Amino acid sequence: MIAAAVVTTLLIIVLITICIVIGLFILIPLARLFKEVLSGLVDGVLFLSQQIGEFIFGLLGDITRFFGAVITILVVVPVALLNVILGNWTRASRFGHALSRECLLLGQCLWRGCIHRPLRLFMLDGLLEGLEKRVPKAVASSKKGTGGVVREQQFTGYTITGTLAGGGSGATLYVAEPDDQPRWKPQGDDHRVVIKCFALAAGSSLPQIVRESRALEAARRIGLVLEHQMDEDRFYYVMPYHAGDNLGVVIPQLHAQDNAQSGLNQKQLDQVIRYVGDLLSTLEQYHRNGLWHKDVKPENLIVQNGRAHLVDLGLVTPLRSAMTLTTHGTEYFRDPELVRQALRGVKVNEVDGTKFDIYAAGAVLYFALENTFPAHGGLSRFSKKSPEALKWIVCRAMAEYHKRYDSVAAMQQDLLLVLEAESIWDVRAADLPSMSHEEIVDEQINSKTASYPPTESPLAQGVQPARHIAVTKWLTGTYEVRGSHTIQANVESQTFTQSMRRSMRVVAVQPIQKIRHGTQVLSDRFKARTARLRDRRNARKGLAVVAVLVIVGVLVIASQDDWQTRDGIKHYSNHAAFVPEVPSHRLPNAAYNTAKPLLLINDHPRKGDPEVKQEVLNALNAQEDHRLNLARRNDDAEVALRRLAPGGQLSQLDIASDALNKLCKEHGINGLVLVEADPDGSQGGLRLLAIIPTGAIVGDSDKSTQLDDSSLVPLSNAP
Amino acid sequence: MNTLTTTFVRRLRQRDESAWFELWEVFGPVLRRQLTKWGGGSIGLETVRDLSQETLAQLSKSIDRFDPDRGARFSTWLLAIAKHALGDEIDRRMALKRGSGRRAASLDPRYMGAMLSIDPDQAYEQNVFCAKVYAAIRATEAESEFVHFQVYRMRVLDGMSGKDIARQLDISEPTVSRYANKVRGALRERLEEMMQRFSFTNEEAMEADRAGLSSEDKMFDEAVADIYHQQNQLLVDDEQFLTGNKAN
Repeated sequence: MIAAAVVTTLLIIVLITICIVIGLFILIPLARLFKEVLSGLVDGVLFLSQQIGEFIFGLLGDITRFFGAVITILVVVPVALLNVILGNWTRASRFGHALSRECLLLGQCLWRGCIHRPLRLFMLDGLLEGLEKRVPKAVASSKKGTGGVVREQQFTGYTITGTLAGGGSGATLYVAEPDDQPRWKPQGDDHRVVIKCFALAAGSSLPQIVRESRALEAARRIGLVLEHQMDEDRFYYVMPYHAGDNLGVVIPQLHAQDNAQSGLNQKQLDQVIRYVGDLLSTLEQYHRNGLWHKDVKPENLIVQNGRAHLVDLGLVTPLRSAMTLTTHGTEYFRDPELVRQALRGVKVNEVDGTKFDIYAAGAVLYFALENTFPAHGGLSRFSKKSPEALKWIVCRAMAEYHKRYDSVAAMQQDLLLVLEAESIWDVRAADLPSMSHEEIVDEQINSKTASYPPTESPLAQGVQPARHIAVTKWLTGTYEVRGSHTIQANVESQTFTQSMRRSMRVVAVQPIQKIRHGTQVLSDRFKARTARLRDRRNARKGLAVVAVLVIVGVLVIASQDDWQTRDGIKHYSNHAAFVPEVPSHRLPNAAYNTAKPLLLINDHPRKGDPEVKQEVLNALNAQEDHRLNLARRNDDAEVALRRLAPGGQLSQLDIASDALNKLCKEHGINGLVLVEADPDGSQGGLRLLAIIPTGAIVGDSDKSTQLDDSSLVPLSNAP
Repeated sequence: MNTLTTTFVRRLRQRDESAWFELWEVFGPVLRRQLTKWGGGSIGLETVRDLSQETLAQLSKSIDRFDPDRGARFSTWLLAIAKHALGDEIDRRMALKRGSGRRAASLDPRYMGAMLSIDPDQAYEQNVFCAKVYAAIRATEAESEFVHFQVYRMRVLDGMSGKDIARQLDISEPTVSRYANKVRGALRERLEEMMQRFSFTNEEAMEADRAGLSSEDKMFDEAVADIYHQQNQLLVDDEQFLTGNKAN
């Protein structure tokens, strides 16, 4: 009996427990549901109350504003009329404006009260969004845009897909896609183009158009501009489009990564060097084609797929332009020397414009390393940790006009070495090619321009022996390069003609040195090396790939005969491929053994090219035995001589002019020796011209004579 | 005034563009700093740039009326012109606001007499002095061999050790010292020249001595490095303040 009672009790307990559990499982969700419904209802009521409240109070506000506007109108109208009657047009006009504002407010109140608020109460205000927002925007943009001036269909062959923010030129920039058959070869997969359009009706001025158009034909030849067209009322040109951020955006992002506040790491530095390498390659292309970009800055470098593209042709100028130099450019990226020369009224062709681009490239590299602009040019401080070699490159690029890199190629070589190094931080400034090679050449040239006999440069000692060239037969031009090969240079004898005598410009020399390695080759190598390096570094992830790459790398390097290893770092050298052909003719007697030196001016268009430098050096070496007394560089004298020369062309100097004679006396020189490109050389070469004014005192101090025409010896009779 | 200053003022009066550009290069940053300070954040970057150029334009008009016998300091003279350029700008803005078409006030000769009463603060005087030293460094850089100056820059301005420089340039330590000494000697000469050129009073000309720039080499180098860093930061700070760029 007891057992039955216990069992029954237990069963009841179990049943009750089960009921409670089931109840909990059902009741809790039900309670939650009820709570949700209740809160939803409360929210709904609140929302409705809010909507109704907003409607009522908004309506009341609109009604108040409406009556306020009516009252204002009632007050303003008589005052405005009174001013009209009194003839006070300025005030009447202002009251008129006030009236129109009040009328606008009146209309807005009516619109909101009658249409917008009732629809909003029933949540139908989305119907009005187009009318209220998009239409006014479209109307406003149609008012201030240039759509009325330049319509899409006016660019024949293109479909406009967008616009870009314009710069300071006042032009409109369109992004467009060419129609089916583009009239040029597209670059890469992206066929889009940028159309820069100047419309007179849109505020562009003729000087702007002239400035933009002066280098376009040259730019088109090298693919920077795809096509250009000038209509009656507008001018536009088409360029390849590079989608991406500019360097002014990319560099701060790089510095923000990986706690790079104290400086960039090796990977980031590699990236930065590649950007600057791309810039230099493009600049080299400009310079090789006789152009000068003039506005290199981070904002004009667009980064696309890891490559930097130089854009904005607004200030591109031909290097040989006879126009006066202008100060256009961007502060901190523009060489102060450019401003100084421009203020002096110097012509473009009287300066080496490439050097200003080099300065800007150095400033871009500084910006990349420091994430700030070079406020003090070459003296700007490096506050972040950067490799010394890169700092040196920046300082060299931004040094004084005459001390910076002579060419973009020289800067490229330095950067290439840094990029190729196993560790960027281990590269010393002394390892840079500009120090180990060009410095020496410069020193050698400088030593030649010192008073005769030249002293051997200490830097040259033990590093690279200067070639000594002994001419064995002057008639045939045969000479011997000691320590090297003997070359037969057959040079046509040149006669000192009457016309040449008149101007006393003696074309004295030259077998032509063909430039075998142009800067184009260097640029290609830079790109190729950069790509190869990238591959090599990625390959470290797998040993197998590393092994393959090492073998390939060894094979490639072994196949390059112009690479030599020193201190574990590879150096590019021009010497291996360089075979000198040296001018063997001599200048007229008047040029030698002079009491006062002759000023050496290198006017060769590629004087920055290492091979041209070497060629000049060889030419001067060839004159060694004849006691050619050359002066060190004298910038003041050079500028004065250029001003005297017609069109700045020193070869056109009139030696009979008193002004030239006086100028030479003032600067303590007997004349000048001009180095320039050989006009007969199809691919390069140089010639020396001796320009000595009539009346100059020639001969050494013991035996000096005053120069006149009769003292000139025709070149063919020179001993 | 000394001969250098007289010659320089004469060049300015003769509208020698290079002399004006030199003045702009040397004192442009100081003027910007001062105008930024006066503007108190209410004038933007472009306006400050315009105003500092306007100051020199005003200066070019007033240089003919400048009377050295008044005994004004060069820094005070420059400050007076800057103040009036800013005053003109404020007048012009007010005139535009009022819409009265009233012509902006022009620089009056009486300001030249009143400039003695202008009391520039110590920071401004320090900036002017730093600008003169910086001009001397710049002139030394222009006349020195590239490698020699870089050695001095690395040794003194960047604080590298002689050993590290020798390793970097593959030269001996005595050569490093020799190059640095050479540049230091040139810098001392240029410093004296710049102080003379941009000083109207003897007191100004003696500022370099007071700043430890006529002392022994070590003190001289320290003073130069300190001024170099101050001046270098000047433009960066101003530019960042005016553009609101605090990234650095």
